[in-house]
Amino acid sequence: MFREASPEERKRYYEEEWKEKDIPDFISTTLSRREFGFDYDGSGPSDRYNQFHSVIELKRILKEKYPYAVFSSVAFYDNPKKRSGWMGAELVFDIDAKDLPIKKCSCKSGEVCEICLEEAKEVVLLISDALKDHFGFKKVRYIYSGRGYHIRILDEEIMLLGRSERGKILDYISCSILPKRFDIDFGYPKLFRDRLLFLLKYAKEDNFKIKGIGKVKIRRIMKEKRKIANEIEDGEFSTLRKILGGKKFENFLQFTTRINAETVDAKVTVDVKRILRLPSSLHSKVSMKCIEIKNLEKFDPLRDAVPKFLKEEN
Amino acid sequence: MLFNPFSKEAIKKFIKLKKIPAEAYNLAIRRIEHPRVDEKIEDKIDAISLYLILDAALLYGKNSREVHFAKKIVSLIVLDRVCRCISKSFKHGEYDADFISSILSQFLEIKATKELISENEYRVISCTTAEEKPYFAIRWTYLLEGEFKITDFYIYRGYAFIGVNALTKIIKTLIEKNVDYYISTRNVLENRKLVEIGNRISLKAKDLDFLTNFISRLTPTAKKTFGFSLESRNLRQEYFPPCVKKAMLGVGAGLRNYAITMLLTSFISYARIAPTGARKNAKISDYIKDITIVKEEILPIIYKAAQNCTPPLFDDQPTEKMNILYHLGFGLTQEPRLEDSGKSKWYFPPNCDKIRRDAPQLCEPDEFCRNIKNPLSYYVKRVSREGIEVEGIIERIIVSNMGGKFRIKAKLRAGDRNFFIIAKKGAIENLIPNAENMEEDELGKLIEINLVGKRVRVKGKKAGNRIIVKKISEV
Repeated sequence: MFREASPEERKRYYEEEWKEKDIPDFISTTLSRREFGFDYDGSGPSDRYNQFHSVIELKRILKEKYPYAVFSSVAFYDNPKKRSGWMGAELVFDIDAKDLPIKKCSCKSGEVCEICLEEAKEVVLLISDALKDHFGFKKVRYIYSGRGYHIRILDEEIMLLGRSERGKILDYISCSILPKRFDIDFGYPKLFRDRLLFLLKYAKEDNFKIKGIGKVKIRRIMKEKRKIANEIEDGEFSTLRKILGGKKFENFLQFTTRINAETVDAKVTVDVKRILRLPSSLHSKVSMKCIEIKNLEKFDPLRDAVPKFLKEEN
Repeated sequence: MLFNPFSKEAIKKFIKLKKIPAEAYNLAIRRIEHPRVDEKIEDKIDAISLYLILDAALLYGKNSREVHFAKKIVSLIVLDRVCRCISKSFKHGEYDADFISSILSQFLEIKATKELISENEYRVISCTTAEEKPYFAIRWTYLLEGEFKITDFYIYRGYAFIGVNALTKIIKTLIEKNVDYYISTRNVLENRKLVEIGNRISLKAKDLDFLTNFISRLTPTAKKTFGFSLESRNLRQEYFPPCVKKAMLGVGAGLRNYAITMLLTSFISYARIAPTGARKNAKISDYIKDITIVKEEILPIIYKAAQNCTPPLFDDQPTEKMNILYHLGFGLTQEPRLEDSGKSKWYFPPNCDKIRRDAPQLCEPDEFCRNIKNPLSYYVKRVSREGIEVEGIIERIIVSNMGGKFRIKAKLRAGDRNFFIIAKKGAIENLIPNAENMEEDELGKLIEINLVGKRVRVKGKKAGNRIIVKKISEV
């Protein structure tokens, strides 16, 4: 699992397994407005500024060149070949399991495993609730990217937002700002508390490198984790406050905002001309399919996103 | 009533009139000469007169001082009208959210919060989420318009719940956006009447006192929303010296750096933080413990003035923002932080003789400039002489006989601020004739009946949140 695909395997994938209908509707219906990029050897998308007027044209390239990776833009252009005439862009959140700042597993940074993929999915579920319940987004699509998840919002009202507006939404969604109050059972304070619970659930002792808070205090926090979590759920912080005291408690909360900020790749969200891995394409670095997820809760990447050539091998 | 003359519907309706009514021309001229923001006028005439002001200014070019000036006047007239309506709806300690929502629907998608959530939920968010009561529900995307942190708001099913202050800020942004859109789409042809209005705009744009007088007539909320209400923040713009007022209105290319970075930056920062001067080598962090004073009170005034310059200062010199922070003592940085205070020198405002030498165009002395050596002393002298003027509603009379002497103590609500006013019998002479000669018991009853719930303007000296009032007059 998670090994690099050979050129033969890529060829087999695009010839035998890849289907036109695997491209999600939201991309196939807007294909001619998007920029496409290709990576042929694993060194990054060197061939950019491509435009396809139909899926047939794209299919021909995929079957002829079986690229290492395929990308399409989140932006829509009047002329994608020149990336000119920007008409808007989807709002995207990228949660990469390989880059999660806190991991329960022993994966090194840049690696993924079943456990951290599950952690990434949990973050996606938390974010997804906020996107729908708070912002009222109706067109939210989830993509398994091969080593993590993309959340793509297609609602009209966000299409024309610029970098700074997208940044503000990111701050909210990633919980990278301290709420004014913590003790409210809805809205941002509740979302922030949920992320704090998530952190406590997955963090290990050595993850907490916080200015002024030594190992003894962290050990006490870990020991009383369950009690602290129960209190946080009720909007209280008495045990945590008692262990840390005023200033250190603030440092602890600031630390959580930093961790939260690192969980979602900010560059992807604020970039209004970003290209993302094309759903239906192969992530050749780890031999996983990048696919649209129909049911996020039931989705299991190791069951649903493994290409045939790898399934047969196992 | 038309609240948003710059909505697409209003423009479409009125702009295509074949013949512009003479009243509209007259009103446009009247609005430039003697602005009265609260006039009751027919919608059509009202809207067209505002279009005429902008069209006339456009004869000077889209980036001209005249257009900047006309935009400001027009936006203020529209916002002030909204603010007046909002404050009129404030009764028995509550705003009429349904009424306000109905008038503001001309600007944005808005509902009363109670329409969307249960009474119970409303009670919870009213006492927990924000400093001000979240009366209104607007689409959350409007929060992206201003300089809000969306994490400060309760967002639910696509709606953000907000109070009056945040709402007026959003309305202000929307008005400015609408006016900008109007300007960007207009191609104006010269005609005699438009030239006449244009000439008057051009004259007034250079008149230092005009804008000050105009602003003094606005509601406190409108002033505050536009960043003019400096009295609540310990800055009294009307008492700034002429050179500073001129710098604030914006200056031309050769003078911009001196006016904004050298004069205004130092003047505003000292006037706000240490008006009576500071010891040698002082730094801002010696006087304040909260950087928001710099970020939210000082810098916006400086940046607004920079924007008023022709061309706007930061358009061709974006690094000048860093230079401004350098002159405030934060070193070369893009973000002021208290811990960086002292990294460079906090410059003191230049003396008058230096201003006269280096930027003679800024120095247009008035009668108060006599014997003044530094712009800051001018400000301190005038503030200490003139006292304070506040407009608000008397919510309740606390006591009308203090310590054996007849004194009225009352709670005055001015926008989102509360003051306690203390007045002698003579101060209410305007409201209750012959008060000076009345018996105290009788006067006490009359005060209760005549003052509570009334919108008044008080003038006096400020001591903390109390105002020792010399005169109370009805608005």
